[in-house]
Amino acid sequence: MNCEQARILMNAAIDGDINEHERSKLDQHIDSCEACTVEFEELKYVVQMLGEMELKALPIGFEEELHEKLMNVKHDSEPVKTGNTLLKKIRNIHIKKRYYGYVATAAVLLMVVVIGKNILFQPKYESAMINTESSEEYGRGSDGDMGKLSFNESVALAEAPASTAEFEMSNQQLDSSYGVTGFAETPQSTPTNGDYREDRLIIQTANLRMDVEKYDEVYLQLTIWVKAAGGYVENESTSYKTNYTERENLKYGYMTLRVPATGYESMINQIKSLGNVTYDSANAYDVTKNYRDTASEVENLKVTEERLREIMTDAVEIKDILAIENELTRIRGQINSYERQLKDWEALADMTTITVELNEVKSLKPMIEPIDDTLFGKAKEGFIHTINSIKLTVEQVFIWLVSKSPILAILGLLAILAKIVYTKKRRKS
Amino acid sequence: MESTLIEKSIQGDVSSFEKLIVKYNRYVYNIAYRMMGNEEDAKDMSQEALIKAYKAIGQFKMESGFSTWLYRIVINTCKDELRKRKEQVLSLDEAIADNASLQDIISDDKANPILIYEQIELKATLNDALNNLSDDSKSVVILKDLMGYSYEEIGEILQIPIGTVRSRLNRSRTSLKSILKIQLAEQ
Repeated sequence: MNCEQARILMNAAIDGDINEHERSKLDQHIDSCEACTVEFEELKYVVQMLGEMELKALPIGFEEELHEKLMNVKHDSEPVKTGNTLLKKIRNIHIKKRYYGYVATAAVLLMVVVIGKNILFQPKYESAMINTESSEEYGRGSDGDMGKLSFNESVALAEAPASTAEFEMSNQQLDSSYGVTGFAETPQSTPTNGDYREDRLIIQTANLRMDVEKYDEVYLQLTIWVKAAGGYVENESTSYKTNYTERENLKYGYMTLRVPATGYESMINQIKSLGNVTYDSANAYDVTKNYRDTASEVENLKVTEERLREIMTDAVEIKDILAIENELTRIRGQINSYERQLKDWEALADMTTITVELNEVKSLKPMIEPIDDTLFGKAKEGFIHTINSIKLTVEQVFIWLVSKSPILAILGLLAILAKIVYTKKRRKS
Repeated sequence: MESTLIEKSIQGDVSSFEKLIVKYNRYVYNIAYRMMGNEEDAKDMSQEALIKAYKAIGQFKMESGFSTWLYRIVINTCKDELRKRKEQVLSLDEAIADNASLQDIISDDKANPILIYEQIELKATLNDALNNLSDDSKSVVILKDLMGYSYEEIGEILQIPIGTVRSRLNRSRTSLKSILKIQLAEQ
């Protein structure tokens, strides 16, 4: 045995990971080699010292601090949980590296086809989305613009002032020409410092899903009621259901309504009377405790701030003044963030959020169509429709291929080049 | 007991999670302390690791031990942080460990038994010496010689084969010894 082998065995011997035979060989070598004797002793000594290193005690307040952070994490993660898990699932779909090229090519082709189809072929299905974020533009747009939407002209015109009004209301720029009254006293009063609510703070939300016969009428009715109650429409969206036939243009949409908490119950009942409720849920979240805790925290911080200011008046040295100023800024920042939280809670508790999903149906009455030749008629119609659409698609794909052949040729060339570069790189590595 | 706590933690119950980790806290903190080399960083890193563990506990598979899984998170968290700071903190043995063979490291100090006669200084400098090891070396030494884990357990925590654990440990101890000697010689 030489010294090198002996040194490898030494570590094994120290950890007890050695058999009799090896051990005796190691002992023999160590007896005959002075350098290795020293080496072995030193090694044993270092390991022993390491083993004797004491465990440090946890720092004071470690667990409390951790608890606070964990609670923060818990609150932060709750609303995004579903998105997160979905993302993780997507990430967990492992694609073997050598398939990357194929997958990428397929994705690019798919994209090209989708984009090409959208650009070249007028889609039959159009939708109109109205969000408060975009409604400014929408409200400003001319009638002609609205005509482009495939809504009935009358609906579009009826909606325009409504949505404009909503938008302006949400921006607190009340325009009296819309005849909206009662909104001026929105209960979003900002509390003056040190003035906190005494009553219970409950954040209420409700979700409704309804089948309705006349979408536009229900929609208008809802906006009128909400305005009358002193609330506003926070968000809404309307689209046609995916209908390939143009015979029935049924609509689907949702609205997020904010109404004062006092009129909440009656509002829900009113809304329910408009159609067939298929889903109904309500949730109340009591934040009174959190609110009071935060409020007292703010009070405490204010006392500290006051005391710091007193100290500040007596401070003479620049160093002290700077230190106090720093501390003051920090405390002021904390107070502000807590107060913002308090105001958020108040606003949420004052205005109940109601989300209404509206689903337009032909008739609310259950309907069983007689099984007669109309069934076969429909089947026939569907069959013809399918054949026609296949024919049309083939035609369109052909036209698209021919018309886009120059671009496709370039793309193909690029793909080949990329492939060559990729394989070369791989071979190199 | 532990498995019910884990299940509750997966559902987001903070107090169950705290009960679950209470007996590991001190080890977590100590691993972080040895990895980072100072108390401040150790506190931050161990808390960050525990929070990561809380967030990721849904991915914990019952087949490995909870402590194994937890310590893996701690070590990886510390290593990530150390990697981020790499520009500032340079390790003494990194170049040696990565580029040189075993002989290069141990060739010069045959029959130089100063270590044994410098017991008191040794204890004081051991901590510094540990900090000068590379992150990988450090984690093996911490787990084996400070925490007393077996080769198999270390392999599971660090997710490396046992052979690698063994060779890395040999190399790390030798590096540690030479760093100690250098430090003692400088004093």
